[in-house]
Amino acid sequence: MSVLITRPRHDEANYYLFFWSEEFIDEAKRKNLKYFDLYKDRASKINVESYLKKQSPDIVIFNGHGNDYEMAGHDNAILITKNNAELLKKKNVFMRACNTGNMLGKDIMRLGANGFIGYKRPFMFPMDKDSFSKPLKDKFASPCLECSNQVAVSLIKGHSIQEAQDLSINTYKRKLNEMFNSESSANSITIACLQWNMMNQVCYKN
Amino acid sequence: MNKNNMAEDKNYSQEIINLVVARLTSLPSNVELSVGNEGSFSINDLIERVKNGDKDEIGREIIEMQLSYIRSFKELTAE
Repeated sequence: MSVLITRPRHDEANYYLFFWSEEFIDEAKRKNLKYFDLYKDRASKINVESYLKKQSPDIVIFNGHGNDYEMAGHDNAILITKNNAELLKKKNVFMRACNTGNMLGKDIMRLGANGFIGYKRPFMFPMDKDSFSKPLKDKFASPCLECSNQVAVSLIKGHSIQEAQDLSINTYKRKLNEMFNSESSANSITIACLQWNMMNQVCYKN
Repeated sequence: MNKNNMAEDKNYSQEIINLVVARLTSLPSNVELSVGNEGSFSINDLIERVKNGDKDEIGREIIEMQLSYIRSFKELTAE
């Protein structure tokens, strides 16, 4: 099994996702999986298409911005649309981006992907301005990013697309219970983001 | 990046806007919110956006997020 990951890093949100993706890259290393890490400006269309064609990864994880029809990489250059989505045939795909769960995810499935997890609305998470230089230690962001990371970690561990979705949703629910029982003043926005992302995280499978 | 199915144009009551503003006002000043493609916003930025919610896409998304949380609150606390 092999994994392709895109990790642009051109704005605040992608900066956070860049570092938080290290968790599942480490998981791939632990499992001795072959992985292709397209980070920063390597997250380009030409590279993504090349790796998809030549390396044929089983799992493809996109970090970045998106919309109903497009998944982007570094500097918001478009990587995937319905016009090249057949390159994702037979793969499990996770798009950690806004809105790709609407039309693009369905196109990806229609064109032969094994499974897809993405978001129907904007993916949101709070951040602590005082922790910006240490995103992995940002207590406001951690719950949301741990829950979405669970999708990628589960796929890399060999779970099916539905199992990865279920494990992630269970993580959301566990985090929500923990947050309800703790007293941080920022909890209300974290809880709202957790609930929003959980509600909008969709899974399609064949 | 455009082409999104953002929160539809809606007229939110002043009560709802006030409720969401009150919830945002209670947050610590060091909180910022990443709203996907739209960027990151301080609490003050979000409050201004919400106040313009009828005309502001970000404001509408924040209102929808908060309303979704409030509506699900009963279910979340029941589990």
